[in-house]
Amino acid sequence: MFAFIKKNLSVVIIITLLLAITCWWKATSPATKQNPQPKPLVVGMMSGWPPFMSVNSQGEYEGYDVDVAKQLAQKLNRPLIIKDLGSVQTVLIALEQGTIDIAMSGFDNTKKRMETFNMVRYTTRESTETSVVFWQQIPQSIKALKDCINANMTICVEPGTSQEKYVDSFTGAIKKQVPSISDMVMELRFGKVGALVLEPRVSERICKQVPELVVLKEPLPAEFAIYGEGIALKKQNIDLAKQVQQAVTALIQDGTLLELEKTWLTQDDAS
Amino acid sequence: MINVLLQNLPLLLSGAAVTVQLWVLSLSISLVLGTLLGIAESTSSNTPWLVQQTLRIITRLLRAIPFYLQLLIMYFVVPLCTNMQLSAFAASVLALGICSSAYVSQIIRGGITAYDINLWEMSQLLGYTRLQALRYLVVPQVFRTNLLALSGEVDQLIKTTSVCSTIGVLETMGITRNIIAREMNPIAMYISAAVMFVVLSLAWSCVVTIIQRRITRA
Repeated sequence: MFAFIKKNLSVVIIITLLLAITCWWKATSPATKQNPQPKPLVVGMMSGWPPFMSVNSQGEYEGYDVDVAKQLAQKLNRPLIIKDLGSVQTVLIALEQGTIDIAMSGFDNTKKRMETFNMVRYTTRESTETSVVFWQQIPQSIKALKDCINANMTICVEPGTSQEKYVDSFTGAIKKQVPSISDMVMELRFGKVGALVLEPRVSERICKQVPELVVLKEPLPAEFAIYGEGIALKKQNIDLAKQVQQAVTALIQDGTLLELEKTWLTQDDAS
Repeated sequence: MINVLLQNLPLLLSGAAVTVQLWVLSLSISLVLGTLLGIAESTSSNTPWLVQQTLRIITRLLRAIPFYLQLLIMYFVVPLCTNMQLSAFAASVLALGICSSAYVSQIIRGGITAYDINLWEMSQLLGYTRLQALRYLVVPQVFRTNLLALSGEVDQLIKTTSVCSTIGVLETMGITRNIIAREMNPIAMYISAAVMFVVLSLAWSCVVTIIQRRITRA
């Protein structure tokens, strides 16, 4: 084989180059080239974030955001392109650059986000409490998050969330930012952190999957409350924001969103 | 644990297939570009001084900037400058290939300069043209003597593909993260992903051993 390669080095180089160029050419977004009319609705999401978006065992994208995006595209009468951008940072960069029209990743409707983006609320539930999650048992001396901080416990939070801001509001809080829920559970399981601070909806879901987790709930002060999740659009994209708002309102009125919420976000209520 | 693994095995394998695609395509770019850069950068190649220095600066930058940043630049900045949309897969292949080519170029350059005698001069004495010298003398000699160093870089390339999941490429790590998020069974899934990478690395080691044996025999 080596002798063959040696004898035909230039041929091998040309073939590999041609192969690489062909595959690259095929892989460059063909959708934008083929269907210029009507303009597709490009939605940026992040997989690995159930129940909003994940890959099922058949390798297909599924989740609340996927279904809502389909409904939105239908209402706006535009073909849908879902872009899995892998992480929150890349979703936000793509939104800023305009390579996606809207971003959906179960973004909390926080004050800061509402100032930065056009946020269109697309879930109905509000979070007025937070979950402090422990491994196997709640230490006896702990009655609230404040006690964890007084006990110099490291608190694990998801960066950029209301929960993180709530932890920051305590002086002397030792926090660790971990961007994935599964990694947060690993941190707790192996004693790297003392507790997780999570949104109740998320903690309910993972407690079903990991029964060793125990939850202490505490009310959130009004300034940290989450007013549902929102679809993010660029501030300048006023026209599309209006259209999306109208479409979401229509989906709420005809009960579609509530039905999807029951399917994906509040499975207990549905069953 | 086994049930979760079996249930998600096809998905994991599809992720591994994407890893292999990323690896093979980026390896093609890396070897070709890296070899050309390495030859052009070597002092004995008669490349104009300015070109040589420019190439050295480029390869230095490529080695200095973390791969994650190069990936983001390729996916977000390059399309802005060239007005050409790149899919996550294409951006990953290009970023991996170009980043790795900088390291390959250094191996090739080191390989050429390691010879006491000037390979180019020797080829001239033998009456070769520059292209013939490249084909029959420089490239085979350098690849032969630096096979293990190149093999290490290729091994590194397999592992680097896992970074591509951060822009949404569903390769082994991207798929693993998705399964973990759904099943909440991190240890089993991380071990499975590790096994996938070990298998790929072992397969590559076998290829290198076969090539080495053939070289020794030759």
